[in-house]
Amino acid sequence: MRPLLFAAVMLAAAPFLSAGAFAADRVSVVAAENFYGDVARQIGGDHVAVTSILSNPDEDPHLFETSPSTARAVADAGIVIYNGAGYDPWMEKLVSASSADSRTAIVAAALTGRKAGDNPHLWYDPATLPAVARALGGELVRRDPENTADYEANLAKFTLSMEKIGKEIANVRKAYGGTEVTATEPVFGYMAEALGFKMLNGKFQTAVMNDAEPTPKQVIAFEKSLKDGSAKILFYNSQVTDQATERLLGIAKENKVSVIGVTETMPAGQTIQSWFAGQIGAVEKALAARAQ
Amino acid sequence: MLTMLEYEFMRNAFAASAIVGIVAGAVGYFLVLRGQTFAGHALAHVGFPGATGAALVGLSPFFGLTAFTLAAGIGIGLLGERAHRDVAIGIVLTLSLGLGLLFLHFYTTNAAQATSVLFGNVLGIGFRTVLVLAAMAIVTLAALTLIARPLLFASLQPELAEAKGVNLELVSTLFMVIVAVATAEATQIVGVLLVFALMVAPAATALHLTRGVLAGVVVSILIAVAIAWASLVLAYFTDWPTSFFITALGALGYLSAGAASRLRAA
Repeated sequence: MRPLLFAAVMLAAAPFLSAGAFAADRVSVVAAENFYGDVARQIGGDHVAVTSILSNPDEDPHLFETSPSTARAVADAGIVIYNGAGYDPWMEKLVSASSADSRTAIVAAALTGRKAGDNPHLWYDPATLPAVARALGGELVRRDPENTADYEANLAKFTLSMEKIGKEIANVRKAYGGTEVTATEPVFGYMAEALGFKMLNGKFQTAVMNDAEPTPKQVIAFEKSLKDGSAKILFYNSQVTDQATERLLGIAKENKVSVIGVTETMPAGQTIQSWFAGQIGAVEKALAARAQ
Repeated sequence: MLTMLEYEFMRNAFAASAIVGIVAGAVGYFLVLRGQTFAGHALAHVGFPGATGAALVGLSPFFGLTAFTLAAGIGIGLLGERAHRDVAIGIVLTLSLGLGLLFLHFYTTNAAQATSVLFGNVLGIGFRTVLVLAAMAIVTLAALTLIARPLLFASLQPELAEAKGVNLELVSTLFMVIVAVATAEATQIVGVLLVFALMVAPAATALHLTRGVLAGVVVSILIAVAIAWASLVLAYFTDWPTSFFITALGALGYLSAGAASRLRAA
């Protein structure tokens, strides 16, 4: 009960506290998206205070508008983590609006050598989150050397759990590599690639991501891939559905194409590991059912 | 209350919105006086194909945004006072939005680097940007001062002005160029909605409240800055979007000024 009470008091007092009141106690980490926030929580444990800006899986991250409280959190942060590659340009702006020499920015795109124009859903690349975790671990040790042992133990634990997920990915790849799949948006693109799938209708997905309309030809090709049985799985972004998506889902179900919803941000109550494992498990289950 | 000024981003936001408020209040006064608010609206939106098109051929999206807005400003200016002017502007506006969609269609990659130019964020302004904004404001206001006299003459008594040798087309075009530059620069910093809201509502309110031109411009500027600052304060304490307060306070100001002048007349 104690920690809960403490949290309630702090929450009530928050508006009256000025910048950096906690700085001495815990390292404040602000993550643009909640999966990066989860990395920070797992690596930093009790020694960090983590704020994730985009965490509601039901809101479209592309339509997000920054609020004063977000800007304030970034201004007060010791470490900020964001995706980059054009996915969260508002975060770069917020960082530049509050110059602070003591603040460190960890940018996933920079760590993985990706740039604006690449598919920005980098966290679905199995190499990205471990790289972010390593960079964060190093930074936490530098800032708070007293707790080095904790950070290193947490990092080792995180790396191990991600290796386990990597093994599951390798299993699916071994059993079902080369399977043709399709998606309404490129959200799951890197993971599908890691699973060894052949992704159909890439141009359609780019158009949807950029809020441009897919052309009639692209729609025809998409529907054909669902109807003629070439696409075995249809991935869709369950956070962004519209009439056009509903229509494609309907066609997929009629033609016995497996439909798997993926989310752009991490659903509430999950961890990175459970979230990824759940999605990979759903893929495996769907493909196993088809094989019978 | 004062804790918000401890944040650099809030200080920058206050400075930037004051600069934008001054420019928008002054330029907006003439825009509303000339009945060209729709042209201003159109200019704020033609930047979209400019930004997406420029990034497509490898130029800076901001360069494309400015070039398109300028071209549209010159085009609208040349239309002058002709009948069906709004129809022509409307067609150019929709055509440019259509072009923007076409350019997006040609993207084979993520277009975020182009489209993010269109959505400014008043809470995400760096100090250097404030300086750029200030420099651009000085140029715009100087140009506006230079053409203020013939512009006013041409706006209020076009026939007489023409008879006295004022080149209506030239004045109108120069004015639209000023509007275009003001919109293009300010859009990517504070966003389309904010620029346009600050251009129209304060000026329209000032026209209700004042008689003389100089008084009108000054009041328009004061209202624009007051609305922008009040909106920042309200957003800071409620955590609602700044743009909402700017549009709401603008509408409130205009409606109460209208009601007040009606009461006075009655």
